[in-house]
Amino acid sequence: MNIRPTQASTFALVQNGLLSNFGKLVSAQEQVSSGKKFLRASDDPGASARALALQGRVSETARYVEAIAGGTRELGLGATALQDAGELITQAKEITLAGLNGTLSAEDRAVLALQLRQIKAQLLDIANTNEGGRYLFSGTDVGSKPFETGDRHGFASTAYGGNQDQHQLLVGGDLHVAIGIPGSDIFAGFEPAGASFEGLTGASNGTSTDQGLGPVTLFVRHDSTTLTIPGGVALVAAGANDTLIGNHTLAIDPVAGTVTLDAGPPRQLPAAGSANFADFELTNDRGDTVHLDFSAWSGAAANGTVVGAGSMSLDQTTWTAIDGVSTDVELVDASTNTVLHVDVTAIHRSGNELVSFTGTVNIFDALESIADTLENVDGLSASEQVRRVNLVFDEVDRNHDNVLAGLTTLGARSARMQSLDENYAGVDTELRSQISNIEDADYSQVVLDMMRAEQTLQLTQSVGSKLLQTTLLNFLR
Amino acid sequence: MSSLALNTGLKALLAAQSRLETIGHNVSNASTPGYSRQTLEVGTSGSMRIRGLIQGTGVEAQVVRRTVDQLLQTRLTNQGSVVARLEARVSGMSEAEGLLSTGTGSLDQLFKSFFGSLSSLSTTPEDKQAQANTLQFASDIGSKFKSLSDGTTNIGIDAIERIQNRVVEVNQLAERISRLNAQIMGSESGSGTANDMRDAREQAVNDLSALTDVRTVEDGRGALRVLVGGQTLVSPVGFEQLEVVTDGLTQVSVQIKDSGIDAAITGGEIGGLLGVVRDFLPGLKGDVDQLAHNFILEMNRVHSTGMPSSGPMRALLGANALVDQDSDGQVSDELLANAGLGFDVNSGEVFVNVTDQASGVMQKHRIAIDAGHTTVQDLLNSLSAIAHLSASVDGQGHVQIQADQGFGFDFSARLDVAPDDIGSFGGGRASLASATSEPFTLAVGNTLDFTGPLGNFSVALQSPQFQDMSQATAAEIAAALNSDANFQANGLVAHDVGGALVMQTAGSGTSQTFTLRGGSANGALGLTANTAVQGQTLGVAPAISGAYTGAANDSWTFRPSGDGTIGTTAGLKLNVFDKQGVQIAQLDIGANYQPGTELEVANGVKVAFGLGNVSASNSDLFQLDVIADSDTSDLLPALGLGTLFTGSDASSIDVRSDLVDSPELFASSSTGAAGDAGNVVRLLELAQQGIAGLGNASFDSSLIGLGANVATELSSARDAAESEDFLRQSLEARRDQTSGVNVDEELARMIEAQQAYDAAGQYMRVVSELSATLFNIL
Repeated sequence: MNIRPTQASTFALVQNGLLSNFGKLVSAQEQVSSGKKFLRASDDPGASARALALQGRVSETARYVEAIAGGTRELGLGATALQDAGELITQAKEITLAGLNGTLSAEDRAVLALQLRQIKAQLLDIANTNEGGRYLFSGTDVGSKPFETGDRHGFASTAYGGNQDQHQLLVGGDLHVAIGIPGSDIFAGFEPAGASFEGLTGASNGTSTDQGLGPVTLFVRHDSTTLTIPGGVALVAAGANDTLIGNHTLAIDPVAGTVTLDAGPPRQLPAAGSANFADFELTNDRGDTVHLDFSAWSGAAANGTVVGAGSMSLDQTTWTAIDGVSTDVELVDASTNTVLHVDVTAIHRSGNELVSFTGTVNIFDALESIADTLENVDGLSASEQVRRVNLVFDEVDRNHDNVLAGLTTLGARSARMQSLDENYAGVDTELRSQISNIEDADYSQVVLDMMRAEQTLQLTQSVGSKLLQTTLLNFLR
Repeated sequence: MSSLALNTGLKALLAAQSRLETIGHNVSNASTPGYSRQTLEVGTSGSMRIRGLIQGTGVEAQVVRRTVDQLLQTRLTNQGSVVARLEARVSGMSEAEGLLSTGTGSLDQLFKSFFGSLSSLSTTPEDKQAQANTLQFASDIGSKFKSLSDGTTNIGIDAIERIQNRVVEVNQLAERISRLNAQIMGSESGSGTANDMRDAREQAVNDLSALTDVRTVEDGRGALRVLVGGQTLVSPVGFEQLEVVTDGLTQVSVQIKDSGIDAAITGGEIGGLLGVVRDFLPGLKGDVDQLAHNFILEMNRVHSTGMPSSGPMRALLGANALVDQDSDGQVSDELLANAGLGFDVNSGEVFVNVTDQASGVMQKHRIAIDAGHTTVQDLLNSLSAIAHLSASVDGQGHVQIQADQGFGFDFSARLDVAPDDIGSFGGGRASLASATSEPFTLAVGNTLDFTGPLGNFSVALQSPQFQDMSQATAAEIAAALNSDANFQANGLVAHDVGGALVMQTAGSGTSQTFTLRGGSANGALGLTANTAVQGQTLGVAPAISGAYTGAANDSWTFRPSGDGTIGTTAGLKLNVFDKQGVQIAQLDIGANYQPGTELEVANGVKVAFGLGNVSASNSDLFQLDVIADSDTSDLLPALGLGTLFTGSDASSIDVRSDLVDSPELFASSSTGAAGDAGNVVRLLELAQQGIAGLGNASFDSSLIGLGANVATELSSARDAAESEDFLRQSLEARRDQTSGVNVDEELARMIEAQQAYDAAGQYMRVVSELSATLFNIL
């Protein structure tokens, strides 16, 4: 093609050259000032979409990290509380063991009981820990106090009022972790293994399965006594103060000067006219008691029988007579949903029989029961007290184990959270470096581009000016 | 001789003068747009015979011609249209790209902030401040969607305004070309060409091509016919005007004025703008609306089936209005699936839980939705049939649900923790159930004979109480029994438990008894004559715990394997059947079972029993709904009941107003427990989930895709505009090379003409001297 430059085409050429080179310079300058390779998505749609997708993953990771931070805080609070709880239970166990020492006086035991109650109160405070308006150990029912103490037929019983759910967090694509442990799993683990009787009255397990929670009291009441013996010995107040229930034997031996209930021990007969001659309290080795009046005694040796009638109850409202032969008497306390089956054949005395539903006694009830025993409200002998304490001591152990297991669980979860957190920190760094590779301007390259654009522009300007200046006119004179 | 010679010299002078004038014209128009270089054509003037010689008579200027390449001119015109169209498109798209730009306040940032706030809320789900924070971001997302929608509309409005302005310009150019046509025809009617007018007309056509696609045809008389989009704009004898027909928002077309004929413009700036308004913007708006629609739907699905941390709700007002489709003045007769709602209602089921707030006892109710049959009234009836619940439609067509004082309701999938509230599974009441399940094959007059506390009586079943007696349902039989006076007088009640008929005493305890003596309906119900049943002091009271992890909704039926006492009778088992009657679990509740111990049934659901007697002979059973999705019909999002957002697309999206006022109504819990973050986690899961309505892309990637589509289209349009513009520039350069003026060239020619003039002058002088010489001789 023959090139025929004209004024207009030369102008257009210079103008285009200037514009396009100036454009390159501006674009390079934009990159330098923003630090980005592209300012608008359309500058590089593919890279911009890749960068956005990666940014999406960064914010996803940030979400998990946020959840982990919140969860770790809650786990930490829980672990601290449980650590304290574990130490308190250890103390309680030491105090209880001290209380089992037979040489202690009643006053010493009362002091120990007081200490136990203090520990129980502290434990209750821990179990009811409230952080920023939310209870730590009530499952997901964070607005309700998890453990409340109330009266249950004279016993200060504590019950769990939260739920069994765990606070779940999303810490990965489909990775859910539970945070809180419901207080019921820690302080009131439920592993029922049937009812155990302390053995005070001779009542024992019936043949059927029982249902109940915590320690309950089987109230065994003495109703009446029937004495069958020759020689004029009589009951005092028609047997109103006696405790024996069932069939017992009575032997009066004036030669040895003793009177013996069942297997003994033999007791010295009261002297005629002495203070207790008309009301002699006779007790056997199992604590069964009958009151005898010797005022009308002939002085002759005599053997006879004493029969006590009684009845039993769980709520002191509905009483069931003890017939002495039934092996599976069902007692129901509808108010606490308790069903107890009793073999009455060996019941020999009245009294408050402690029945423990093994595996269901919470730590508070266990401590309360032990404190009650140490205070000895039922007037038990030292050995009976020991037996009663032993009945629930295993429950303290069991709850202690649950607290420690809870602590382990929380620890494991914390560790998992921490490792996830570290993992996400690495992912975050990696993602950000990928984004930087895509988005960020390579300064050395951009500055070089800019300098090149600048030089080209200057060149275009100077050449353009020459081109436009040069015309034949300059040489026509 | 001299007169001829002088004449020849004069002609030479005049020709040189004309050449100089042409050069002057060229030089002075060197920078006139559209000017075509002109050249003077000269030739010898005629010769004459003088003294036997044929002699030339000199030179004469013949014609002034334009140097123009007509083909190149046509290509340039077309190219101008193409470039202008692309540039208009790029400018429209750039604005759209600006709307979708990322960075602070952009939709993708708001999505991130929203889901981030949910994550933070999940750690303290009952925290009002965190709930308010989440709602703020939700509200920001709503505003952003709206501003995207408005922004898109505004780009359209601006484009339409520009089209209107450009059409005015087209009309002016049409008039001008027509006028030039007439002038050119007038000046050329004799001879020669109207060079400068033709240049002006070409320039006008060029200007026109920047506005629209142009085709030109010149007729024999020099008039130009101009066609725009296939319609004649300028004819040799006149011209048409264009007009814009538009609603000012999204609809626009350019027509031949007063004819209704569409000008079908595809090129030029107008063509480009039309493309933006008609194709690009509706596409973008559609994509944004689709994203908003699915975002609203998915969020609402989860939100409406969750629970506020404050527990069950007292009242709900649907956010979406039902529309009276058949215009008969009422909406209640409309099918739910065709009631003008922004979302589809499908066939499925909805579960409604009603909770007694004092006791915490919850009852779960199922409402079946058949898209082809369920009307609004059917739904209201089903809801109102639920005890302690009433439903109605307000004057604006919003469904409202209200619970009685002391009761609350929710639509969550949570398990009924005490499913056997009537005690048909070893409860305190004397209870007898049918051995078989519905449908029961009954006949008219079939009886059931009882002995109750008041003595013997018989209940006859009559056809009006049944839809089809040969296909009787447990609910129908129960209703028939409950309406019987003797049945009532004897203190008996009947229930439908998972399709089985249960007959019970109203009271509980060992004193409660009744006997089924017989009756002709016995066989169909699988009942045995002379069956006596007695109540008990403590019921078995099945307690459900855990959370259902199965994928589909199901209804489980629990039946004992024999008669006996839980925890006591050796070998006593519990059989669990699913909806199809397939046994899914068998649990040991015999001598090895400690009352109160939780047993795992399946899919995370656990059950525990208290001490008590159960009887397979009396067909003891209870039923449990296990729910993966408590609203498979999408009824709740469609009606806007308990939703997070209202509206159905980008222009209507908003956060439910009562949530803004009371953030504690945010459904963060899936169980109703304040510290449960189940529903927040479900919402969070949506962040990464593939959404069916978005082609299984997540919200985030769908949004990225949306931006990337615009960016890619824009980028390719910009590239195309650039390369087409380059082509235009090179065509223009060629035109300049052909038709443009080179001043140097003209100056050279000027010198040439000047010298010719000098020479002619010299010649004249010589001729004049010759004449003088001659005169002197005389």
